[in-house]
Amino acid sequence: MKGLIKYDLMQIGCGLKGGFFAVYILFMAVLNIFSDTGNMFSYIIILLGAMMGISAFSYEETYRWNRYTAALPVSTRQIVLARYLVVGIFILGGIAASLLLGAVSVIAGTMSLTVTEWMLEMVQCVLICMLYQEIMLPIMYRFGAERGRIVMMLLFILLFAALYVLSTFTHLWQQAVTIYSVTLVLGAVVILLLPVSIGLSVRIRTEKEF
Amino acid sequence: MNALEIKGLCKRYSGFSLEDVSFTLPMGTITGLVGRNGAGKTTTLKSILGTIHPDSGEIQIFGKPRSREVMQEVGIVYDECCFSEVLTLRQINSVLSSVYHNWSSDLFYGMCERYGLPGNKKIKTFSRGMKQKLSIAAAMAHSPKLLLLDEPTGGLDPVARNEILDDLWEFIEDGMHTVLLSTHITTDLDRIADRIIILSGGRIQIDENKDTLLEDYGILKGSPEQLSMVDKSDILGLRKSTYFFEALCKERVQMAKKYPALTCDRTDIEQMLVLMEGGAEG
Repeated sequence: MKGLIKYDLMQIGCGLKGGFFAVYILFMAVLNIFSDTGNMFSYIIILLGAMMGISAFSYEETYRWNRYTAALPVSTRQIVLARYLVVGIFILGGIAASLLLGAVSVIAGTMSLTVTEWMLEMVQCVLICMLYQEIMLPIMYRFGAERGRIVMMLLFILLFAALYVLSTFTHLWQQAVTIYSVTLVLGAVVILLLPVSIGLSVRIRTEKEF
Repeated sequence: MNALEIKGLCKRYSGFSLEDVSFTLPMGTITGLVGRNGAGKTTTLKSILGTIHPDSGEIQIFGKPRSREVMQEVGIVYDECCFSEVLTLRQINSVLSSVYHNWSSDLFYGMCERYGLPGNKKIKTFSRGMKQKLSIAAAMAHSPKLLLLDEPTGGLDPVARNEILDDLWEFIEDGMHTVLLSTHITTDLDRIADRIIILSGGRIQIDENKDTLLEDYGILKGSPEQLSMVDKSDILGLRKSTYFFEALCKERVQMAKKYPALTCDRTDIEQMLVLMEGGAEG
């Protein structure tokens, strides 16, 4: 499993335009010194980190690495777990970059949020990224990178449509539900969904032929 | 002990089926798996590797069903390099040394150096032949007891092909290693194979020791009018033209005596394959 994780990390790392990311983070850091960006850009970094794991599917289809791994002395479960861990590592990388940008804002005194609010937003962002990945990874295993991206777009549309519908009823539940309870529920969903998502991915990959 | 035993392997797709494929590979041999495109060579290899799920049949590697432990002793070379082109040899070494218990970086770098592969350049800068050489080095660096190769010499020039065939020959010399080589390039098999399995239409048509095959099989040649005098049961494969016919037959010496009016020559693997695919129209 260690080898598979290394492979994905090195591949995505080499494929990335490292310089572009460095410039992006530097630019955002400078922006945070002079103005309150509302941390939006730092959350984008977490999302980008999560998306990196998805690009591993693209690579493995292009080079047919999936048929090579299918014949290696590793189980399907290990192959799938390695991919989930890679996604997790990229999310952690995104969190680290995001914390760095936030810290720059705090030090520069341009952050309008309190540290508690900032952390809460960060947790929510990470949970949403994790939830999104828990849904996306089985889809990627089922449909592959090409068709998986189309399904991903459809999911986005459905998600925003659902949020729009919910927002029309806000007056009914606005007072009963706090941002903390929403975060707690989201955290519980993420934790409970993880083994289901992994199990589903293992099952889909086991049934596949390469 | 046999390195590989396959019994009654079947796999059905729409438009093609692998039917009742059975054979064994004794230790210390090189076996050539030959057949035209779509004959079932890759399906057979994929079934052994477990990358597809056979409908029926039994596959045992070193007397055991396929498992993670067993696959530690198996090396694979596909028809195309499966490594990401953004990586370098050193990165491939780092990855595979974490996968195989017996991985030897010295052996891997030694082979790469001998094949002229630069360690610090990305794989995307390699030619197709270099990528194939890398696949072969990666398959052999953990000293597998069974090496499965699917069209490995396809993109290689004759010098590089010979180099790899020499390596395969050296690989099985100690009698503890086994090679199953699927290829179209039958001259490779003329040179190194101990045994030949010819697949056609998803079935094994011939499974013979190479020397027996080359000694015992022959080609009957004559004019189209003379074809009627040949028993259909003697014809394993046939090619006809306006001016002559060629028929693949077994028991070459007896056939020469049975049909003195016809020429009965020795044959080679390529001719056998061509004639078998020509169909027994006679």
